[in-house]
Amino acid sequence: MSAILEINNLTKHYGRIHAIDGLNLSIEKGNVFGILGPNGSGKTTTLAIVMGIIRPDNGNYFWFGQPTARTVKQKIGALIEVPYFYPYLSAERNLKILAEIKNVPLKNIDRVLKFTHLSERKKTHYEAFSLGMKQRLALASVLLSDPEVLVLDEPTNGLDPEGIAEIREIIKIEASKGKTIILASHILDEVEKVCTHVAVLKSGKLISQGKVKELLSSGEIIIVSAENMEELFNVLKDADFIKAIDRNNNEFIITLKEDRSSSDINKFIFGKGIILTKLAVKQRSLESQFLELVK
Amino acid sequence: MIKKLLKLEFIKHFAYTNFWVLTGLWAGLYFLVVLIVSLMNINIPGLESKPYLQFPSVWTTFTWIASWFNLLLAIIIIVSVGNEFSYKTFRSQVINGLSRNELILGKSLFILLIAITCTLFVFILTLIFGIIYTNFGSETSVFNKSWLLPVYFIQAIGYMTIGMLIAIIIKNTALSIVSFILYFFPVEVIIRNIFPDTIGQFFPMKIISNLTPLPDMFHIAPASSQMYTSINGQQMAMQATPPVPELAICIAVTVAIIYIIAFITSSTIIVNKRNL
Repeated sequence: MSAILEINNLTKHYGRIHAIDGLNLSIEKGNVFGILGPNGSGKTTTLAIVMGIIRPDNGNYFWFGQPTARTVKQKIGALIEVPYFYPYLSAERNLKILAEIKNVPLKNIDRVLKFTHLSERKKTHYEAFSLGMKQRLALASVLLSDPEVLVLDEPTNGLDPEGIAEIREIIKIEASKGKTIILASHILDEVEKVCTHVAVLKSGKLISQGKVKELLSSGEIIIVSAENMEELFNVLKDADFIKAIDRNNNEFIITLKEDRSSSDINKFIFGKGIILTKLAVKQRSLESQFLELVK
Repeated sequence: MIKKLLKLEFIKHFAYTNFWVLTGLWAGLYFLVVLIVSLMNINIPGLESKPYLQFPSVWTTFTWIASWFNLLLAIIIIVSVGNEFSYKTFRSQVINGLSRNELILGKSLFILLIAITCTLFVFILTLIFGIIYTNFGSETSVFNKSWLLPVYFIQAIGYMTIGMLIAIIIKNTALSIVSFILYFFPVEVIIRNIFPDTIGQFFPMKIISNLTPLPDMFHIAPASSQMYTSINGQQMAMQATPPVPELAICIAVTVAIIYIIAFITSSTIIVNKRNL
């Protein structure tokens, strides 16, 4: 499969702070790719660089295997940080400017305004818009050219729950059309609900990358204890389906490998002649997993 | 591409009230001043009519008056460029596919368009007032000094490109306007005084603001018969600076064009280097 976006060894300093530090990423066609990281981890800087508004100190990037050009930008719709519009112009006129730049027919403006429920306010000046409407207009501008790739930097930032749900719905609709979506977010829940792939950034470094299901959803931990803890430990440490064992007072906290469940461990231990006095399954919160990833 | 960039500037400014206020202010003030000048009665014996409103002197008078309002033109550009930074719309235009060179090209075309419009306005007013006040004789040469019009055109572009460069360096509308005015006076004047006159006369503001020469009424040539005026029965020569020779203007225009190219080039380099 061809890479939609390839980032090689990207580096950017702000003074002595490394905003991005030797970042490598490859995003394939059809991915809904989440870039997850705490505030200040370099998500926005990365996206701003690949959209050409920040100059990197080092490294390069390729869209569709080629350097950035106007023809490339036509296939991308991007929202970086906050919407950028002329406050003294109407929503429609603001979109007209972008339509002109992207060589998009003007009838697309009505289509995206309708899609983002802004048709009735198209003559309203941008400055009179509420935060939610501004964000929706930004999304309308992203969808204007019906792009193959959507680049969204914290698209639900500052929105009320209804607004967040609306924007997620739009992302899902676009993803179902087979579009590639790059979504930066510091909200784990958002990435988990929307994305297929995820890269976790911390201080400008890639610390983890993979499918969302593999990286974030193996959230079960199992707590066991028995009368004879030493004997139990000896049995457990040889088991090949166990990822990690932690001892916590009088119990073991076990992380299983993928595709294994609590019944496997129960069967295994019972088979070894040990009877558990306690077997509990706990869902580890996503938040704590995320914190663990960026620790 | 050029058509597209011009269209973009048109969409941006057509519905922008401040733009029309500034343009209206320019046209209104200019018209008001030439009107007042034409109605003014300067009683100098020997000057019954108003030679400075007659062809061909009216070209000098009207382009010189127009040069007073170049500051407004520079402010129009500073506001236009400053807004692109304040509202981060340069960013959005690059995200959506314009190159950084095209950002500058667009603004330069906008400057060109304003300069053409203003020059046309000056041309039309000069023609109207010239026709009204000239007693046409066989020797009247209407377009003799009309070459001052392109000089004014270059001057207007000069002011606006300095405005663009300052706005790009400072990225803030209000601060840019203040800086522009402060540079105009007194910053450049002070710097100029450090250097000897031979270098000082080539400073950008000096060159550009002096492009349009003073009208003839301020320097009546010694050889002319209007030169002598009688005050208390005594003949005396009116003290005045000699007229600017045309050759000097040619050199000044050339230097001004070099400055304009330098301002646009610097703007392009800065925009290309910086993060938007």
